[in-house]
Amino acid sequence: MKNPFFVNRTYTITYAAAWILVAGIHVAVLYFASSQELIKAIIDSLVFNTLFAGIGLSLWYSIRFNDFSRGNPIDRLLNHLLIALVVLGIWLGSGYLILSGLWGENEIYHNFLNESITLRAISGFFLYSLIILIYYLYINYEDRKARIEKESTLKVQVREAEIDMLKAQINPHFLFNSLNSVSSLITTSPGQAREMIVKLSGFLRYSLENRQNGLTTLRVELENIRHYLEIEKVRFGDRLQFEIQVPDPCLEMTVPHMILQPLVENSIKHGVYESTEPVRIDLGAEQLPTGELRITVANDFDPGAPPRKGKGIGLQNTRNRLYLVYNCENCLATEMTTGRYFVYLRIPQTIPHEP
Amino acid sequence: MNHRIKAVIIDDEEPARILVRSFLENQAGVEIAGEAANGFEGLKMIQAVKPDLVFLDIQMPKISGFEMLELLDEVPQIIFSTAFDEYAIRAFEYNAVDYLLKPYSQERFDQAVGKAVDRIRHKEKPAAGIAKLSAGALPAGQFLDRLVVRTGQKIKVIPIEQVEFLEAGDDYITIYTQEGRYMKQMTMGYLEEHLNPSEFLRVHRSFIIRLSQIVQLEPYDKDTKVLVMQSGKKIHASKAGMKRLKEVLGF
Repeated sequence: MKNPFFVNRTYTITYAAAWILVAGIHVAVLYFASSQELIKAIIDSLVFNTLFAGIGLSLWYSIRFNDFSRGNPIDRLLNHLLIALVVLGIWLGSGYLILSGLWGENEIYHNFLNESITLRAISGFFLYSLIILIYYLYINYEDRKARIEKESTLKVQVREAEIDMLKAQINPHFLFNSLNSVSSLITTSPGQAREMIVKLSGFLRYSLENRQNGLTTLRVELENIRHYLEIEKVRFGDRLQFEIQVPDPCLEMTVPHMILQPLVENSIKHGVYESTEPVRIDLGAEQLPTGELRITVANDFDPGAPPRKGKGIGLQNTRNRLYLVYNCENCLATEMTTGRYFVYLRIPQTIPHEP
Repeated sequence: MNHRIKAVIIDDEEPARILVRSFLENQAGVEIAGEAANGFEGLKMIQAVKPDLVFLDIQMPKISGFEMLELLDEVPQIIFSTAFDEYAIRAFEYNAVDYLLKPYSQERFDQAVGKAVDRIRHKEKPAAGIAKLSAGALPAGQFLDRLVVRTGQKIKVIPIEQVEFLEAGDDYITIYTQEGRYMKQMTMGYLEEHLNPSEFLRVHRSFIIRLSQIVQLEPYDKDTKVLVMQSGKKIHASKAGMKRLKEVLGF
């Protein structure tokens, strides 16, 4: 860390101005209170205060390079007293030598110099403490600032990592089963195979995309979900029915990228996987009076089928993501009726600012 | 010796069945005797057609490929075909001919069929049945969450939460639930291994009970007791069983 008084011009000027003030007071005290000659008062003030101003700057290094923050407080205090003693000794000694060299034969001044040593030592000690205090406050302030900065970058990194992890939940079995379907279609219906590859690529490209703020429009998100459902439709045939009904104004509203895929995947897993009957999946949206977007994902399921393992992970991830993006704790709700399961998302259209 | 091998394809995805069918066109010695889209249909198909070879998916609606096999008295040669690689070990517990990971090539497919044809021609015993099942059939830390049984022509899936206790017979187990009792070919050792030990305990050579169903302990003789179950049924706990019970319940 640089000496704070050299960090920028303002600090340097402030330091100099403070010393000019101290020097001025010094002159005034000598001239008015001690009735010294003005020229002597000025020189006296210049010598002692310039010396201390220089010493004051070098005190920074005694603080920076001797780690006073370690060890017990008594040791630290003793250390400071010792340094203060040495510094004051040097300061007074050299000031005394210079001034007595200049006006040693002037008895009045010489006596004054001798008599004022104690007072000078006391005011010197005061200045010393003040400078040390400023340095400590500065270090504390800088450390704190650095810590807060580090903490906030860390938070952002953790958040990004979490979001990435949540997004990377695309089921590999979906890919392998889809590729198996492609393999099958290549001989029976090459055109459909080609179409399937295009959809699969579109879906993959979209899911790998990394948007800056993680947001997209519902229109784009739905286009991708349609790809996903059409791919699954090839696998499951009539067992999967779906309909997407979203009024036009909702299409331009924003949603987190890939927010719907885990929900639709859930619908397929708990609905289509477990049922021999056709399962219908419906996606709907509406704008709430609050301006927020409400999305509904509904699917049939076989109430007789025993619950599958792993239920809830997809929902929990979605809930976490909504919390991370919108700081919203109840943006996901579910409802179950006989044979039908509903997931409701409430998507705010503004993102809260970092505190 | 020269009769054509009868094969059945069981997969819930039509494109997957079509693929098997088209790959089989290469195999003059194998004819397709039927197709099924889930375990229930598959079971009926196998019982009706008595195939030599079955191409079997694992994850299917209602009951899995494994559960379907457990319901068969006579098990044909099995080639599993699935996108899940985590079942491979379990598949070989069932003495499967091969385990095809979707998507697979014609070469890989031919290789599997070749092995199956060899086994059938040499009249090798196919899947050894349930007695063969042992540790490792389920991934570590994973326990049975349901039992599938056959009652006459019907198939019943019993969620494990409904099981009150299990009693060993000669080479089968009787499963007691509130709704009634069901029989299934399996061993106590297998169950002991694959039921969650925090829910089930073997209290006797012939009994595994659900701990939460015990309402009372009555003295029987010096070292053993009788457990009174919620349903009122009484089960004799052996000396070793009592020791285990004391450990688990901490009394």
